[in-house]
Amino acid sequence: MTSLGLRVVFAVGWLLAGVAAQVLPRGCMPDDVLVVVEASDAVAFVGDLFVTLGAVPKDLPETVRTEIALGLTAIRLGLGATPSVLARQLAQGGFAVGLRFGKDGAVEMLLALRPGDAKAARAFLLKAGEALQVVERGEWLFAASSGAGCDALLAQVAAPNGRWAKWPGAVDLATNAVAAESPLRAYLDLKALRAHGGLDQKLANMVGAVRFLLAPMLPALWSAPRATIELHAGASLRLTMRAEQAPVAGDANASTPMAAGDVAVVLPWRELLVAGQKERTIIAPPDGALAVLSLDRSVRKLLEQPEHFLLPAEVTQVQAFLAVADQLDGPRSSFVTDLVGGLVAPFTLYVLAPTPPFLSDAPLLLLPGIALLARTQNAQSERVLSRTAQVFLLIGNAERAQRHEAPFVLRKVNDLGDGVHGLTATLPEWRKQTLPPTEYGIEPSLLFGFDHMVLASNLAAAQAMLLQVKNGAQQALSGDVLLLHGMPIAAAVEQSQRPLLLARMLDEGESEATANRFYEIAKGLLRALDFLALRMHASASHTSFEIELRRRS
Amino acid sequence: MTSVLLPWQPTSADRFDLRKAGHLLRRAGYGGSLSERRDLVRGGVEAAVAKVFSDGATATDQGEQWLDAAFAFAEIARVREFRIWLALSGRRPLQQRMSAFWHGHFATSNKKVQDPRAMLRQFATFDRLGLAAFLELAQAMVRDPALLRWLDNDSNGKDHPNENFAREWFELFTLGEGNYQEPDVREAAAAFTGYHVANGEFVMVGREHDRREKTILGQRGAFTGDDVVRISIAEPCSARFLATKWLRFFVHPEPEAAWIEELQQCYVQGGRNIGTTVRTLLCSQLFFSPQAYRSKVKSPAELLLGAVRACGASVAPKLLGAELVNLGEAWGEPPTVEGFHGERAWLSPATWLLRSNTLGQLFLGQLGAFSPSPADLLARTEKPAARVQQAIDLLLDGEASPESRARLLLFANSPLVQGPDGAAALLHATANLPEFHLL
Repeated sequence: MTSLGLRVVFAVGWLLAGVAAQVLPRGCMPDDVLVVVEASDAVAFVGDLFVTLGAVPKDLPETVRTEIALGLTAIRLGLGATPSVLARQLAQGGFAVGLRFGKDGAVEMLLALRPGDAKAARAFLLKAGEALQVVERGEWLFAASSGAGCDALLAQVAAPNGRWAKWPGAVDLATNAVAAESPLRAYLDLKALRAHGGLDQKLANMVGAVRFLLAPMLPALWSAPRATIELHAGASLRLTMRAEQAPVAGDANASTPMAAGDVAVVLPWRELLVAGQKERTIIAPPDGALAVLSLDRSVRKLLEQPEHFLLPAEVTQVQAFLAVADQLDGPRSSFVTDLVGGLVAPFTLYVLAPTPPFLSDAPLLLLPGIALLARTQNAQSERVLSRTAQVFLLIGNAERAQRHEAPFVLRKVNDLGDGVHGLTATLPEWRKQTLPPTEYGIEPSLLFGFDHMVLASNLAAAQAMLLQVKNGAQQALSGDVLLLHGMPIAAAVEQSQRPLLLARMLDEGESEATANRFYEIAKGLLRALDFLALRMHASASHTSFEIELRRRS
Repeated sequence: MTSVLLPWQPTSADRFDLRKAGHLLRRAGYGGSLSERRDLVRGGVEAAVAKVFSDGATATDQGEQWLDAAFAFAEIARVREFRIWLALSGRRPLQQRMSAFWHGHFATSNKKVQDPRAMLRQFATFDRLGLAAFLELAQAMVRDPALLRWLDNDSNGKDHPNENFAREWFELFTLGEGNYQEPDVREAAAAFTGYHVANGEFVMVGREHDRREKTILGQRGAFTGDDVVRISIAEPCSARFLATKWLRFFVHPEPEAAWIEELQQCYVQGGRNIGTTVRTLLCSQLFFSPQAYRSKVKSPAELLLGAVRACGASVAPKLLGAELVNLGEAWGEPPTVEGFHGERAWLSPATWLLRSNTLGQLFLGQLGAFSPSPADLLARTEKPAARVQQAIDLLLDGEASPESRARLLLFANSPLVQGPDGAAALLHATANLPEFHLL
């Protein structure tokens, strides 16, 4: 049957079915589509998006602001209308974009629109892609890069009970109920995408460190049949991916040794989650912190049962490490049981604003303070940690001596008040005419206080974190969180801009002007950013991954 | 002054053309683009030499300007990248060239020094004093922390003398083999006692210095290391030793005895000033003679950086640094105290293939974006013969033997040069010609 004949048959079917008005945009997509992006109200979404993105950041260089303004004007001229008008013309009643793979592996895009102005929408589509096939049916406009694509869309609408019409919405992890649909969302056939992209093999070959980092996500990536991605615009811009994972035979509690390619290589990693879906509190970072990373993981469990989580070669590496680590504090204690076990998991990592060294001028490249904070179990853990820190410093100083470098001088700290005490190590005073090297921004410090331990790259960072503990500054969260604050990062870049500029010129081959422009743009964008958050959260049956971006008001 | 060092004067039969400008830029720098070469030709030979010497340059020295920022990174790879960046900038070509010469002369390796910042400062000393009076440079070198550590002088004390530094001072830095005796080494080692390094800086440790009288190269006194410097560079054989090295570096790998004699005299008569001597050499009939042209084998840096500069392109120094290491010219880490064994040692069946492959990667943008792209560089015409001429103009000063030209034309007409990477392939083929591997 010819393409024309098919279209006549579909048109008749369409009229008979009379269900066009009830069809969701994604319901128009044929079953062999693997990804669908859908919006029910494109106009509202475009409006929300513009409100969320706001004006062009004022801290961007004037030349860049001018270029953006010109670019936006050019886009508007190119589109022939403002984005809001265009959204209304094209998809006032919603749209769906489907992606499917051809036999040759090429991606084909299928488009179903419910336009506000069919004539304008058709003209736009024909102008946008010369090879695009466009078909109008009732209130719908279908487009595809081939006639076969259009036929598939027409066939689906004529029989509107395809799998995408029945595709379930996302589940809200907090309530375990179907989540309210966001204005713009995507539905992914993960099972088919895995098979198509060879993801199974990639997951099976993933190294232990990456699996540790992605632990909550792995079961979903391995076995989830579908995922939903939603873009929310409003107070912030949020991209959320939720996936449900099917139960898999031989799940979590298996204690058999791992082997490459085993399903179990992926699955037991969730056992490392300490809090799981429960909310927990961490110590809030002080004002001006650059970043916070809180992973809900048990390092102890991983080190206690490496053969349960790691591949044989990785197990050997862990055992080799532990053979040395166990000797750091002599035969009196165990690295895993007493040192790692002496701290209450999960730990939190803070990146604080750079602080110039106390005794010397600031190095040109001033490193931010990095602090690892954890609650201590008992006094025994404090002794083990202190002795181990001293051994590490001894090893570090021995290596420095081989390079003829001055050693870090260790001193006890007991005079910080409130019983805060510990160790800190500093380099000798820099007495030369030149600025001190970068390492002068480092003062390895281990402090204890208020039932907490903080291991930091400088004393100021360690003290700042214990002050937060003392003040009871807490923050609730669940799952894994990485939080980046724009303004302090911009300030840190500003402080060390000269070496960063040089590094960029050496790494990218850019001229000074181009490298400078790169950092001015980066700082301008960072200053406009309140925070960027990455969150991973797992429940028994679902996993979510979220990126949230909020502008400064 | 005798014949070969007389200033070369262009004539109607022997002009200062693109070929000679290219020769000057390659030997006194890392090459130059076609437009730079044309500019030099327009200005004439005297202005061209003044340009490579950066005479009257008012802009801040980039090396000085960014030294503090480079100092922030304690990695030898970064030091290497920084040096490549300076060489590629082409702002002070001869300064960078001389620094490379002195790096080969006072060859110091971070593999032992283990202090990239000290290496960085040594290079900065070469930049600053590389064309100054040799005495000034030599005095700076006996206080150079990297060199002192490299040759163990920081453990040279009056009770436990270490002769390493003193021996190399005579053999490799000032006099050459056979021009000193073992007692000279022992006594010079005593004179260098106490020249130590503490916390990365030179310190003169008085209690470790041997203050007794010594006899060095026939002179007697309570000499210090500085006296050894003064005495050694005043020796006639020192002038001969340095003149030979400069001739090998700038003119020909096997200099004739008469040339050495002339340059040696020029050096002594010019107050043992490096800049004056090198200027005479670069202006000379000898330098612009057919004997000198393409008479040396390019080192990996001369090859890669030269290719980038000849195209007037920019490339990220980071990946170039890694490639220099692969090709055997790891700046900051020469293989021995004798530096890099250059000339024919750069070429073997294995290194030839590696050099060719690396050039291919460079033009294809696999060592970081090559900008402007080869396609843009050869964009003026689609005709194969014209494209071949463009490639020859860019990389070979416009000159290629009829055989080479015929081979390139054959290649330019092949399907290999029709695709999107065709221009890169043509530049690669041109750079594969033996002529391009000669300096």
